[in-house]
Amino acid sequence: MAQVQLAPERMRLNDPPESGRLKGLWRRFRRNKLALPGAVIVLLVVLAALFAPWIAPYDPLKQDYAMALKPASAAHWFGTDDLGRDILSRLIYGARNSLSTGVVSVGLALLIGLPIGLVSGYYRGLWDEVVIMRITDAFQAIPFLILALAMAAVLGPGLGKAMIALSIGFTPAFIRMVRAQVLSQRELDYVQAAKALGASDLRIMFRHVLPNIAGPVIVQASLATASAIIAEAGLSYLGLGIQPPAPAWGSALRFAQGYLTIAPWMAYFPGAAIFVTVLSINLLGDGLRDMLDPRMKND
Amino acid sequence: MLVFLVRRVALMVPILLLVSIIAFSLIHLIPGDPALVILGPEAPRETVEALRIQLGLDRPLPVQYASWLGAAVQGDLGRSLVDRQPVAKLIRQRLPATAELAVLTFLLSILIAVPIGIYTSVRRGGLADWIGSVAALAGQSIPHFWLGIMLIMLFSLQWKLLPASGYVPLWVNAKANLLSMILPAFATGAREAAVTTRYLRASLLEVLKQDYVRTARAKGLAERVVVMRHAVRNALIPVITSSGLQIAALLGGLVITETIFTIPGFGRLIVDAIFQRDIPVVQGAVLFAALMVMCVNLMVDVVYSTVDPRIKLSGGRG
Repeated sequence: MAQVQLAPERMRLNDPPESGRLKGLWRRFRRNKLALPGAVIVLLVVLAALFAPWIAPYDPLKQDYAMALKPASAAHWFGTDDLGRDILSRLIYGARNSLSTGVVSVGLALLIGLPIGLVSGYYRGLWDEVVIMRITDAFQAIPFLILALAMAAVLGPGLGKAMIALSIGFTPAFIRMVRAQVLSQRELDYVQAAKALGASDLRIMFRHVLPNIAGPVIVQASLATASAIIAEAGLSYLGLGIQPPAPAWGSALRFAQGYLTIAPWMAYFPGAAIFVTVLSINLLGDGLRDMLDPRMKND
Repeated sequence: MLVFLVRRVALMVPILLLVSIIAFSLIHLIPGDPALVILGPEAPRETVEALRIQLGLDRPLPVQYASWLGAAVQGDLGRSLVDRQPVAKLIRQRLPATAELAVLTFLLSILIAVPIGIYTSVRRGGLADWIGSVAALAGQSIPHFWLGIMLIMLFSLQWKLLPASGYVPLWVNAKANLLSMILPAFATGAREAAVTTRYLRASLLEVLKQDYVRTARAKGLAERVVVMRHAVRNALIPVITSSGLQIAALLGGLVITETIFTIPGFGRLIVDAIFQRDIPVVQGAVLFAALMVMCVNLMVDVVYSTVDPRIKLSGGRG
């Protein structure tokens, strides 16, 4: 009986701070007036990408030469391209490729950068300062897009290879950011207390330090995703990303450049899709920063 | 100053060595036999073997690297596989256009960012601040290659005010050169301007809270003098650092801009080399790009140390 009474009591004791914390986070997120619209648009793009086969009005690969280069109409809201394909359908399917490149390349960079940054910042020493930091310095000295292009040159064009090329470009930034965060945490009382209690280094790093640096990492990851989408579109624009006939926002712009005078809509919509998606992710990232890492707030 | 410079250059050496390893490794990252991949599966066996020897692939890896690095240190980055020209010469030929575009882009971004950054921070919380901040975020999110295409449509095709392509060297016709550079510089500079605006606004808001600004106001100085003479000068210090960091992004951005506007620059050289699988050119370009970024960062450090008297040159930043 006593136990039965104790459990709700515990819940009552624990619940208010937890819900209060969530409410506080939500309040901070909402304070940034553009964060919510950003989040809603990101959600819509994700949903469009996920449910593309049901949403897209036409097959994105279906060519119809009789309908080539038609402007926006009731049948084709964003018009058609030089091969008579529906631009809206290609944009909806293109969202899949763009978003997956952004998420996978940043995910891969996090997968490599997070543990290296954690270990490097936690142990410090010669290995960290002489080897890891100098290697990241070297990678960061090479302009990101030039490094990605060079990687694409050796690996060859394609979606998977573009993801690898971009993740190689992002990894050093994550290593440095995670390391800097760990350096600021490692001397704090809670880490010293965990050490005094006999916790292993691995446990301290992943169970104690990692949750405390998660905020800035999430913020950085969201902003990196926006950069990755632009970079992938850049690679596709140059012909090194997703290969035709697969729909991609960047390559759509490349082909549109040949028809600027007779079919400008071919250039309007793919670029607008990249712009709106990246802007929304940046707005969301700004909101997340205000929510999770208020010290980094601009003003 | 000399001690600072020597120390700073000495710090660059190990990083450049690591960059050289990355650049050198590129050819070995090609899946399979690099010579066969470069020439294609149809290439005769003798040609493939000749290329392997030319690229030094028949020698042990450390020997290949030592020989490549030894030549690179003396300015020999190998020869292009396509037109047999020395890579260093190709880079030298393409550099003026890129350097000019980079400088124009940088100047344009400063011209846009500084007034907006100052105005939005002084009018913090107002409509102008909101519009400026949203515009800065939009500028940061806009793909510059799309902006470039939109500018071509508007200014070249519709209004016929500026050329869409057709680079003319500065020393051949200065006016035609500047006209051909406006759109590319704006397309690339919009993002740089947006980033600088955000940095300057944040920095200026921080500075405006400082005691010495309050003192200046208490002395009865006009707000314009307080902001322009006292606050902005200090607020620009972190902006200088951020500009240095942006140079890498700017160089990357120029690769695509030069492709859109058909400018025969360094970026175009890289793109062409990639499509032709001209690996020695790609290797040389990567090494050279990193060297440029590091040199600009060194210059920024020197400027930073000169502008901020709190930094002692001999001890680096402190």
